[in-house]
Amino acid sequence: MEGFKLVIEYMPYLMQGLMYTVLVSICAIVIALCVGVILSLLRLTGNGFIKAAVNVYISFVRGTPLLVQIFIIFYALAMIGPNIPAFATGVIALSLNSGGFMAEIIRGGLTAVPKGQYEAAQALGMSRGKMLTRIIFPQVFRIIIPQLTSEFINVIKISPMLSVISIVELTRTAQRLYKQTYEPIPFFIAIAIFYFIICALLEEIVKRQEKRKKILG
Amino acid sequence: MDNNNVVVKALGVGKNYGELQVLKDINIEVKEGEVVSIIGPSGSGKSTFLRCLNYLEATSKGEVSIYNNVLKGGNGTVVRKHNEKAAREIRKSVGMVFQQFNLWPHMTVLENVIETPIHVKKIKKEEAVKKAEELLRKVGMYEKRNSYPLQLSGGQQQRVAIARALAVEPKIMLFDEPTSALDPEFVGEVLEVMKGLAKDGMTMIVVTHEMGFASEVSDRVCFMDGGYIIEDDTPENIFKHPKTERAKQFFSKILNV
Repeated sequence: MEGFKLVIEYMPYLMQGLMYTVLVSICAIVIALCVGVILSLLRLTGNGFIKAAVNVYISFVRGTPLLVQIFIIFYALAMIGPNIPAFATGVIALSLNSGGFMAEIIRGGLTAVPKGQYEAAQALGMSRGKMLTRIIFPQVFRIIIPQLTSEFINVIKISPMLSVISIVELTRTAQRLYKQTYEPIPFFIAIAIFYFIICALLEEIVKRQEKRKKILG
Repeated sequence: MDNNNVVVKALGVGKNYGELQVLKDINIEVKEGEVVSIIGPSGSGKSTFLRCLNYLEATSKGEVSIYNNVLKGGNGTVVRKHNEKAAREIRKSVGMVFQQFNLWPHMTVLENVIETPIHVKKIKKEEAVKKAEELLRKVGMYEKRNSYPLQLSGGQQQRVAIARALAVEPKIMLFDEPTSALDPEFVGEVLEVMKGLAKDGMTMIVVTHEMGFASEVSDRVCFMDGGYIIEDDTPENIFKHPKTERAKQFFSKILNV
């Protein structure tokens, strides 16, 4: 009961942390999706060199710890401009990481669209760009919604890593409060519930969208 | 048009997949308004040849000419660039219907039909819808215009696919085994639509296993085997008096079961 009171007492701080977590995650998810689509398009239409570069990038993102990637981006950006806000750095780091994973998910979706779908578009004289934007990608996104949702949730769950570059999001806030009050358990349970609610909400939103668009099958 | 209105011409067309030679030496001319059926055993290259006509497959050698747009054989960068340009022209006047229909599942029947007129031919939406509804009536699918493809039977999907191909106002229609994936009960409705097209004077090249359709509707039947057209004649002559042993064998197998 004591713990509950403590959480209520410090709720404004937790809310601020929550806001940062949500904001960072939303920005990162949106940009990561763009990164994923661009990487996929480069891999689809680029020459051999571009394709190889994209593959190396994706392997790198998947094959190195996120924490290390965050440090690299943090110090690299600090060299370019010392006044880049930590928030922006954090969003960039998460998007570049998650974008690689999303590109892989999109690749899976692309192979799931039957060859005949491309052929019908070609035979009717569609340009490659029209074919991809009007025919192929709308189907790809319907196919990959479940995996994409998991990746969205993953972005939220890796966002605490940004506390190492002093973004005071939810987890960092809890750490601070615990150092102030010497009461770790109530705060960490509270933020666990917050994370859970965000992820559950996200899942619900996607499910509704999916239902609205469910026509395949 | 020169050459007695010859609109499709294939000259020495060959196609290899690595070592495998699917087409060896195909020569054929199709005149405006003609209905040509291509028959023959599986693996004889019928579908491959049809797909070479609108550049879904690149030919390895020879030449395809449709309304004087020429697709060249070979796979060099220069040839490919040339062919892609020619293919853009050819696809404006050549519609295609596939064995597996290949309707776009995320669009309704109507959306499938208006997609290319609006986004390729840049026709205004109201106009495209009007035209599409007319075509859907013609193939008997107007009532289903707001359904999605996967809610329809195979025969219905194929009729929509025909309407979609007709929506770009092609002068030539290619049919790649249009009834092979259908339950027997739905074959008739698709063949009816095709017969209607033939009667309207559409130039048609039909790869088919429907011997009834081939003999009843086509002006000419080509029998393909092993990458060659080994017989090219009127339906009457082909079915009643086949010249080659191979064709005789084929017909005795499929006609007497």
